[in-house]
Parts: sequence; structure tokens; C-alpha cells
Amino acid sequence: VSLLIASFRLRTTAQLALLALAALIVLHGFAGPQLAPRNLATVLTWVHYRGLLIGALLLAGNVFCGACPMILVRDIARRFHQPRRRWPSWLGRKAPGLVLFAIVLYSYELFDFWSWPAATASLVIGYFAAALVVDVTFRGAAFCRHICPVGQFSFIASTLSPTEVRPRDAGTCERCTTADCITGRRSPDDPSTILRRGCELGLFLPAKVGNLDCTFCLDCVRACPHDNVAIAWRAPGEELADDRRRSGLGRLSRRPDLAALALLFTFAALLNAFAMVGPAYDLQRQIALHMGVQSEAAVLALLFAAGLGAGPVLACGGAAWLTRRLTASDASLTQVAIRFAYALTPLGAGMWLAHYAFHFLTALGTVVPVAQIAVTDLTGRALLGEAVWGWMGVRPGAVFPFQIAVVLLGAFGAGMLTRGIAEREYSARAGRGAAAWLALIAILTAIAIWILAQPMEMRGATLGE
Amino acid sequence: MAHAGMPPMRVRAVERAPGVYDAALDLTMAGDWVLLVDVTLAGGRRVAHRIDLARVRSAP
Repeated sequence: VSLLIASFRLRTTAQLALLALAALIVLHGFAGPQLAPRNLATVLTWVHYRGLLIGALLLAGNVFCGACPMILVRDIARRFHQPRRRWPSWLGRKAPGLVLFAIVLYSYELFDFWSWPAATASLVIGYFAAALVVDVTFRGAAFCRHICPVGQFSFIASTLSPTEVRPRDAGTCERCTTADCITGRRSPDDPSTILRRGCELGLFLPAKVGNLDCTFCLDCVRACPHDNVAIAWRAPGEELADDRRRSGLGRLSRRPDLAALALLFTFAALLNAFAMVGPAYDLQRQIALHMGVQSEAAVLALLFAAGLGAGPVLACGGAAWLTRRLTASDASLTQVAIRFAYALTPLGAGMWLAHYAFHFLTALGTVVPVAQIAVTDLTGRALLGEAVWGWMGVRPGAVFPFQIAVVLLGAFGAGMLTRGIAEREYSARAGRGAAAWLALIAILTAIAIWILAQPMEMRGATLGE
Repeated sequence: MAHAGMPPMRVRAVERAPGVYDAALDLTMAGDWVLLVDVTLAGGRRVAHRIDLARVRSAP
């Protein structure tokens, strides 16, 4: 089954399908009506793609990275121009991706991408251009590994996926002398020729732990001459409490950038959902009023600085400080915070799912009339018939119990991971080690449920009356 | 609704007096709404007009 899934044709077919959708999004984004609910660019990107992305990550694996059409375009470009440079270490391994992740969320609120088809189309073009420029300049999968904001989102969310790519048999890897899974399978006649490329993200299969940095491209499955790499079922999230040294990444407890990614993922889930409810607009007006600021950009910047900067630092700093006091630990505040930050990831995933599932489920059927409109707009003929605004999706109120359930499930997962990390770090004092973090999880869960219970206010973030 | 994915509500306006038409709309949530008025004139000519209803607030 793994070989079937890993077949080159299947991946290329999926990439071509997504490339065609991206082209359609760009065409209709520019040429179609600039009314978001009637444009394929906004509907497909902000409703269906986001819902399917988080759903696929939590139910299957990082399949959208595996089928990424930008890699297809990049591979074609690399036939004409091979990159020669290494990714400069001074840029950091995850720092650019983290910053861009925050910038994309900020821009989404500032420019109201959800209601602006042409801007959405421009974003898609910009994304393809950036991937192309980076990957014809730097070797390997530099864009995926260091820059792609969706990739960073997918990497951290995929730690909760029920599947992972790993060796079938450890003994086979021990006896392997070629390490094709990372170096690529080479031609026996001409060893300088690579027939099947190895992992471009530097994940050596025998030392690979979990899904972080794995794009599910399955290059390793195709490269392994022993057919020893497979997609396997596993316990979702367990890897977040696993501090073994992992190929390409090292130990999680020594990666502040990855811990920052887990925190950004979790707090951004809350902020992104909060930005859609009435109290968010009231808060923005209050900020503007009290600070005498009229610029929406400045008010949003303050909100994001608090929500994604000061909030996580104070929350985790406080929990780490309490943990040190309760356990009489010698570890520094930062070390304690890094070790436990990963445990919050399931709560973040629950909130992302609750938020995106709302849009996806309540607007599932809108893709039908909007696709009919798009075909008519782009061809001049109603080839799919006139738009039929029939069943649009699940009633909004019906989604609420599901939203609460997935947030609570995420909180439960976060609690289990916290307990696991505390047992690993403090053994006999595990209860004391986990206490502050369990309290933090309870507070964040209460905030998440409060946000979901607020009346939604779907509009561009404008200030004043 | 200006947000992608929100289904449109379609209502037919009823003539109450010469040149005066009534239509009831249930704006189901706060936010930005867009009113698209599609008129068919006596001669069969169609006229479309867009009215933006920004910052609709929830009833207290």
C-alpha cells in the first residue's frame, strides 16, 4: 500500500490537480466578481482548503505538503537551473517561517483577505514565486523547511497525525550501507547520477522520530532499495513528549525555535478565532480610543504583539517559574518552558479544527454554485448550468457541540502530554511538575470555549462608526 | 455577507405602492453585508445595484 501511495504518478497527479485548482483560483480571483462568497478564489482558499488542511492533518497525515503543487513547479524549474547555495545558518532554521507565519495571520486580518478575491489570487501567485526563487537559489527543500508558513503549521499539526513515515524493520536499516533514503538512489553505472532522490529535509530514516519536518513527499519510500520504508499507524501526539535525538532536528528540549512554533500555533489558534467575534472589534475600538491611535494597522499590531508575543511569554514564563518553585528544579526558566511548550499543541489543534470546521461545514455546499459561476465567468457559457444556491452546509448552531468537543479533546491531549513530560523530567515529583501547566491548559481551554460561545461578526476589521 | 463561504439569502420584493417595494431580510449575524438588488423593468431591461451594509451590529 505504501508503495502504491508513494508511486510517482499518484503524487504527480495530485500535484497537477492542486496546480489546476491554484490556476483556477488565480484566474477567477482576478477575472471574477469581487464579492467573496461568489468567487472561487476566496471560497476555495479560505473555506474549503483550510478546512480540508486541518482535517487531513488530524485524520490522515501531512498529505497536502505531499501533494504541494509548488514543488512540482520548482522541480521543473530546477531542470533548467540547479541551486548551488546552502541555506545560510545565520538566518536560523525556523525563525523565517515563524515570522512569516505571524505576518500571514496579521495580513489576513489587516487586509481582509477572506473578502478580497484579487488579493487572495495575488497571495497565491506570491507564494509560488517565493517558493520558486528560494528553491532555485538554495539546495534541498529550503522553502519547505525554513520559510513556508503553511508548512510550519502543517509540521507542528502533523505531530498529532495518526500516521508517520518510518522504517519497517530496524535491522534492515542497520545492515544498509548506502543510506539511499537520505543520499538518494544512485545509478550503478554512474554514481553521480541520482535516480531517486533522498530526503530533501535531511531526515535520515533510521534516526527519524515522528513527523516534524516530514512533508510526506515519500521520496524516501521510493529511494529505499530494500522496500523498507512504510507509512505506519501510530499514537497521535506521542512524539511531542519524546525527547530522543531525532535526525535533522536534534532533541526537542534543545530547540527553542520548535517550542516557539508550538506556542505560536496554539496562541494563534485562539487569536485567529478571537478576531472573528464581536468582542474583538470592541477591544480594537477601545485600544484605538485609549491610545489615540486611528491606524488599524497599529491597533492590530498591538493586538498581535499581545496575543502572539507578550501573552505566550508571560503565560509560559509564569508556568515555568511555578514549575521550578514546585519541583526545586535546577533547570533554567527557558529550559523548563521549552520542555513543556510542546504539550500545548493538541489544544491549539483543537481550536484550529473548531474554527476552520465551522467555516468548512457551514459553507460546504457553496463550492457548487460558486464553481458554476466561475465556469460561466471564465468561459462565457454556463457549462455547469446556472448557479444553484441549494444546500449550503450545516446549520451554524449544529456545529457548536462539535467545536466544544474538539477543544475539550485537545485539552485532554495537552493534559496527557503534560503529564508525560513531567514524568520524564521529574519522575517522583511529576504531579508538582505538571501542576502549573495543567492550570495553564485549563485557563486556555476556558478562553477557547468563551471565544467559541461569542456571536460571530464576519467583517473587515474597520475602526469607528 | 461579505465573508467567503456565507450563502446568500434571496428574497423577492413586493410592490406596496407605485415605485415602493418591500422585502424582509433576516441578517443572521453581525458584520458586513452586501445587498444586491436585481430589478427587471417594465420593458424587460434588467438593472443591478449593489448596496454595502457595513458594520451591522447584533441586537442588544
